[in-house]
Amino acid sequence: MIEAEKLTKRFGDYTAIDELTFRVSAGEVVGFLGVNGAGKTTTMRILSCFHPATSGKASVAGFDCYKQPDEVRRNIGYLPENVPLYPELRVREYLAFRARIKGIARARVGGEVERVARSCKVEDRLRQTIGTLSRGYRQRVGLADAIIGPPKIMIMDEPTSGLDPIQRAEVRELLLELGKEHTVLLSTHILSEVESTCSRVIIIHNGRIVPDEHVAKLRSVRRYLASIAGPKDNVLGALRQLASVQDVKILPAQGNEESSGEPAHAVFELDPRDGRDPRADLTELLAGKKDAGWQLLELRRKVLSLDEVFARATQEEA
Amino acid sequence: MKNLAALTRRELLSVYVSPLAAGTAAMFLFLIGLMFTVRFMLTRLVDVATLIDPFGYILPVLLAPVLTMRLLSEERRLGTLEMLLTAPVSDLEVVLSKFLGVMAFYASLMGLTAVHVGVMRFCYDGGIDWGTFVTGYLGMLLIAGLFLSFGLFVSAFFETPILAALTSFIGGLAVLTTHFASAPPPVVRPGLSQQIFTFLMPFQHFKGFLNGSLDTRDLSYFVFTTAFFLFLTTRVLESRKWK
Repeated sequence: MIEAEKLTKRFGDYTAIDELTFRVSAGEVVGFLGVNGAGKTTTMRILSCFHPATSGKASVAGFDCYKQPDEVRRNIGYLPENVPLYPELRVREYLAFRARIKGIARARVGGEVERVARSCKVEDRLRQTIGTLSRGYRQRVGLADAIIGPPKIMIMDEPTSGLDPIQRAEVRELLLELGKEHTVLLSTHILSEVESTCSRVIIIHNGRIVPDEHVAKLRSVRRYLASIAGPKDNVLGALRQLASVQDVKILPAQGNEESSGEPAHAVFELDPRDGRDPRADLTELLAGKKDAGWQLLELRRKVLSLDEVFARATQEEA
Repeated sequence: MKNLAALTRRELLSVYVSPLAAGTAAMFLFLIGLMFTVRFMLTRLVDVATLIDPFGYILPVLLAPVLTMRLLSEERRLGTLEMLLTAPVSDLEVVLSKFLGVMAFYASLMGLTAVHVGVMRFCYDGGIDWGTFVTGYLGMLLIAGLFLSFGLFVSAFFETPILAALTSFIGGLAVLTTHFASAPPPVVRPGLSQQIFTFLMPFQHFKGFLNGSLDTRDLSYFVFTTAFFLFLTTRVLESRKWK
């Protein structure tokens, strides 16, 4: 549905995006992930035919974004960042206007406005002036606008930015609902959102895509967290000696040890060597040190969250 | 062009609810009413010139910047331009709808001055030359069209409406001062450059309308210059698409 091939956009000397290649198939909900300034908005503006790429090719719904912008626009619902709306119009007036310019026949406009207002839960605000709406409602009006048609593909630039957690949850629910019928490409820098709504993630950093294999590798990384009571430095030294352990670091204390009633301890993060499981070695080590007063309080395996994957991917690239 | 009606309707909705437009309308009606009252009391001339002669020059210069300053700059500032230009509408439709919207508003202001014409009709028993009123009003609309299209063009460059207003006001003022400064032709037999210069000055083409004459040269001058600025405005919008 969306195909980008070596998409590059330069503003003067500044390269905003550099040879982006990706595709989004029909029915997918894809998250576009990147820090501010990574090139998300630039890419989405190319896909929505707001401005062309300097080089490379993009096509949406089978139409070329540069040569057939009208066809592309007819097939997408685009929600720009910050949801720009006309503050002086009423919600109904605005949605009716958007429906008209999106080619909805005059006779169907009323019904279509009702439909999108219902799915985005703004039907009780149709008579209100947009300028007086809260941020959450404005966002929903923007979403309602984006699903007029309905379009085959929705492109949404940070649909949940500036919302409070409850509003974010509502928008997320809405996106999940929309994702059942539409192809969605959404950008965000809030990772929990991507994890809960998207079937796939494209991480973009400094105008380049972090390759999928790299992300998969990062996601397969395992860490083991062990809380051990005993002389901190000695324990650290002993852990480093283990054959299955590559590296160990002490995590900063949480600050509530004394009140929790636990004996004095430290939390060690074990980075296993070559993907081996260091738990057997660890148990053996501690069994030998029982008399010295070493005690295992807690041991668990940890998978990197998308947050950490993202942080690592972007830090490495930088 | 199928979206033109919907786009123009949106423009009108926004113009008629804006306090700025109401203020502009009040200013317009106050000035033209004041001028008419004084002139009509003093001269008793039942003539379209009584209504619009000196202000015919000043009104578009004064009003067009205020009416057009927000048209594109505000859309740019709010980001609604992105919303608009990613919908299946053409840049030309967007520009034309903005022009038609502001033009319709200006025409409705002109329409309100019919009250003064009614007063003249009421106070005078003799025959009235209605033809001069028709050409006079047409001239007012044409010159307003030129200044509004210029204001729209300027507005496409700025994100701050006030800067757009200032720029198009200075532009209008430059035209106005040039007009008055060159009022008695400095050369008895104007050379080619003087002729070209005079031809380009908008107010030269306006005078005829007040006398009831309808010259196709004047008519086409306004149509072409207005179309020229609308074309330029479209090009400015399109410039984002240049690679």
